Formats: sequence, C-alpha cells, structure tokens
Amino acid sequence: MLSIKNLHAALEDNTPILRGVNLEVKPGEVHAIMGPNGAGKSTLSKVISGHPAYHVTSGEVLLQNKNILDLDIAERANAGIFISMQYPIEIPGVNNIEFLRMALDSKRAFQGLEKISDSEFQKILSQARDLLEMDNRYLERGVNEGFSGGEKKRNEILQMAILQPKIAFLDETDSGLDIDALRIVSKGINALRNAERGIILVTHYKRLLDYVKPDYIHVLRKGKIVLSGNSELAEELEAKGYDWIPGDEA
Amino acid sequence: MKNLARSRLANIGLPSPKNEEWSYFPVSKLRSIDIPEPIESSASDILGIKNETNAAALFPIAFAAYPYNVTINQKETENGILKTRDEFSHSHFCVLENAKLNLEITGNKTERNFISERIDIELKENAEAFLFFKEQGTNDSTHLTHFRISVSENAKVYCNMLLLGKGISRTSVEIFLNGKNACADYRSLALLKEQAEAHTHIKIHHNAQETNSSQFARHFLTENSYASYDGGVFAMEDCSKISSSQLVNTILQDDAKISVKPNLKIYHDDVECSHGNTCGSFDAEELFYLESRGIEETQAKRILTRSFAREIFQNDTPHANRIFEELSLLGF
Repeated sequence: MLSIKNLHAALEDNTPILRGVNLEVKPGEVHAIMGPNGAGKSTLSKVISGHPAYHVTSGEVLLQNKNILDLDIAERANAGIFISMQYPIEIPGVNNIEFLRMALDSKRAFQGLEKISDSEFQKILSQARDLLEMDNRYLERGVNEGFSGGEKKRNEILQMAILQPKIAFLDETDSGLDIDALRIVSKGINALRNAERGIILVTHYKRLLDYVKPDYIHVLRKGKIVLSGNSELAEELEAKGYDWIPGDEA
Repeated sequence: MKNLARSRLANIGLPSPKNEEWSYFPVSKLRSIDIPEPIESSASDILGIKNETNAAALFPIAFAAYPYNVTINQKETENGILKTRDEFSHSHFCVLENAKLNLEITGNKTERNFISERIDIELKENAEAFLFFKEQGTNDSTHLTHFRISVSENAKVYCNMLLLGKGISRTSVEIFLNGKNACADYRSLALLKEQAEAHTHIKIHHNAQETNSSQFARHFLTENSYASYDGGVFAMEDCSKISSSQLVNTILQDDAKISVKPNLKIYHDDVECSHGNTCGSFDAEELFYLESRGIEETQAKRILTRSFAREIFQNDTPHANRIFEELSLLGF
C-alpha cells in the first residue's frame, strides 16, 4: 500500500534530515515509529505530505504503486494520505465545520463524486463527533481556535474519521494528552483501524502503544530506520532507551 | 464657521508633502482649490477650527453650501444612511443623553472625481454611535473624508470602516474621549487593488481618566495598491487608568505596499497603551494545514483571505449583516 524506498530529504538549505528511509506498510497494518528527538520522525511525515520546507533529494514514496512525490500537497491528501500534526495550528476565522466540509468535498471532487449532501455530511460529522466525544461548541469555532492541546489532537482524529484516508500518519498524537484524552484518542484510532487502512504512529512513549497495539515497531535514528521488530520492542526501548541500538554511522 | 475655516485654511495652506499629516498622500492628485479671502467672523469655535491642522477637516466647512444637522433626542434611536456626496459636504450629528445612532455612510450613485466630506458626531453622556463607513472610489477618484467625534462620559462610539475600490482615499478620524468611561472602538478593513491607495489617519485623544480605545486595522493589498496607516493615541496629563490598543495586520501581494506609523504620546504613567503591526504574505503553516486536508492552494488562499477579512468585524453590531453582505459581494 505505502512503500517508502530509500527516501532522502533535506531542508531548504540542503541540510540532510532523512538519509535513506525504507518502510513498507500493507493494508490493515499499524506501524509505530519511535526514536530519539531529532531523529527525523516528524520530518518523515512532513516530507510524505509535501511540506514546502523540505525537498526530497532521492528515493520514492509509492501509494498503491503510484509515486506521490509528483503530486502537490492537496493531491497527496486527496489520494489518501492523512497527517495528524504534532502541533495542530489554530486558524481563527475559518469555521471548523465549514473547513471539514470543504476538505471532504475536495476529496470527493478528486474522486469524481458530487459534493456531499447536508444530511449525509451531518451524519458523518455526528458519528465522528460521538466517536471523539467532542462537543458541538468546538466544531462551531474556528479551526482549533481556543482548543486545549488535547482537544486539538482529538480534532485531528475527528478529521481523520471524516476524511477516511488510506494511510494515516499520526505524529505524536499522544503528546500533551491526559489519561482520559489518551483513552478517547486511542479509541478513535482503534475504531478507524481496518483491513483497508494503514496507520503509522509516531511516538516517544509506550503508553500509546498500550492502547493501540502496533503490528510493527521501527526505530528511526539519524534519518534512517535502524531497527524493526514486533510490539515487544517497545518494552525493550522503554527499559533500555536508544543508545544500545547500532546505526550511528549515518 | 465658513469664514473661520477659510481663515484657518489660508493660515495653514494647502496640503504639501512637507506636511507630516500628508507625507504618504500623493498631494499632486488633489484638485487645485482656491481659497477665497476670509471675512472676519465672530462665530464660536465649537469644532476646534482655529487649531485645526488637517486641511481635509477644513475644506468641507469652508466650501460646503450648508451643513446638514441632525439631533437625536434623549433615549431615542436613529437608524440612517448618509449619502452626502456633493463635492464638499458637512454633516453634524448631536446624539443626546442615552440616545443611539446607527449610521451607514456610503457613496452616492453619482460618482464624483473629487469629494471632501466631513462628519461631526457629538455624543452626550451614555449615548452610543455605531458607524459603518464604506469608501468605494473609482479609477480616477480622490476622496477625502474627515470624522470628528467627541465622546462624553460613559458614551461609546464604534467605527466600522470598509475601504474598497480603485481610486485614492484619505480617511481621517479624530476622536475625543472627554468623559470618564468614554470608549472608542475603531475597526477598518482595506481591500485594495489596481494601484488604489487608501490613507488612514487616526487621532484618539484620551482627555479623561478611565477611557478606553482600540484600533484594529487590516489591509489586503494586491496589484500594486498602496495603503498607509498613521495611528495616533494621546494620553493626556491627569488622565489615569487609560487603556488603548492598536493592531495593524497586512497581507501584501503583487508589489503592493504599506506604510504604518504608530504615534503614541503618553503624558501619564498609569496607563496601558499597546501597539503592534504585522505585515507579510499568507501564513505558510496555515496554508500547509489546509492543503494537507485536500484543499488546493488557490482555494486555501481564498479561505484564509476571507477569514482575514471577516475576523476583524464583530457579529453583534447593528451593521454586522450589512458588512458581511458587502464582503460576500466582493467574494470575501
């Protein structure tokens, strides 16, 4: 489904950040990427989504065998890539509900479908809102406007629930969450986990992985994946940290 | 009054680029104005003409055929539309105690290339005035509009200004907060294109303690347009607990330009006065966020422009619907 092959990417000033990332995510799989600060985890999500602050120097990213690096940001999203931001920004004045509807209509236009009807949209919105236990008053504000950190993360998963992506890249979705918010966000992610969708979780802590069990865990260090394993690897990383893992030669 | 204004004009002369109040304005675009010899006048100077330094405040009094006077009686509410677009026009509104004025000031169907207009508003105790001013010139037009607003104790004035079009405009607003708890709320949005120019001069005089003022101006400038914002706040001696803020945000595109000058003169220690100014293009992270949800760049910019324009105005003012209706017509 998603195939990242020898991906190298750099900042605008050519400072290399990703130095040959390889990752294969099949439909239905949940992968977790862990690693020390500055390893390139957030960069990987931004490069995949097409953030203009980075440029790919070599490699390819295939979604269902199509190289998405040729697509612009919106086309990648409409093709099925969803990034849950580590720090979702506030956009005052852009109504949350209108924004969600525009995003969904953009995707439908990309798929050659008509705009969604009022009743269908309300149904989808209502289901997503209930799943994330979000009050209507949040949705009637500007995008993330005045939201707490936890509410912003819930809003990200709500967007995922509405847009139904093929691949969801969730960048530190657990950071800043209290226990209840972590439970709600995890419940949302698990509800959206299905046989057609791939999910990539970026996290520093094992606690998210206690709620959302990954099929694979990878360690990203100095811009490349240096170790992969099953869910037991999280226990080992929690106990021993990252220093014991080889891969500093990059 | 007319002679007082003519006398004062003869004294200060016509605007020139050397005059700081007109430094951003292309004075060469003003039509030539002959000032007739003034006749001695014994009229009382209730409008501060003898000390006036702004020629745009004097032209309408000196040359308007006759002033338009309105008094709103105590506890009454007056809703009106003002279309005083003779070449020179002067209107004076006196809003008595506990009365309310909702006034829309807009252009007439007959467009003139040169207009110089003055609007005086006098708010007595506990009175309120909600103003919606729409400036919309044409390619070759030059419009000068001057507001002089005096605000008594517990009175409030709300100014919502929409500066549009293609011509050159100069809007000057002078507000005197003369009584305790007097309040001025000024919001303006300039949406300019095609080498249009909009010049704004604000002077808010805090002449009493515990007075509040806020200025919130936004500009969306494209196609070589130009705007200037000269925002003055004067916190006078013996006037404690004054609160004043000034924020100017600008989005520039296509070689458009902006000049912003905060002008704060504070003569008392116990005051809170702030000012800020941002200028640039679209916020890259906001654009990225919208695009990352599948909204293509052109539409994302349209969404951000719309929110930039609409956010400045409050939903609960008497003119909110009219303002948002105007913005919708303009595609915002």
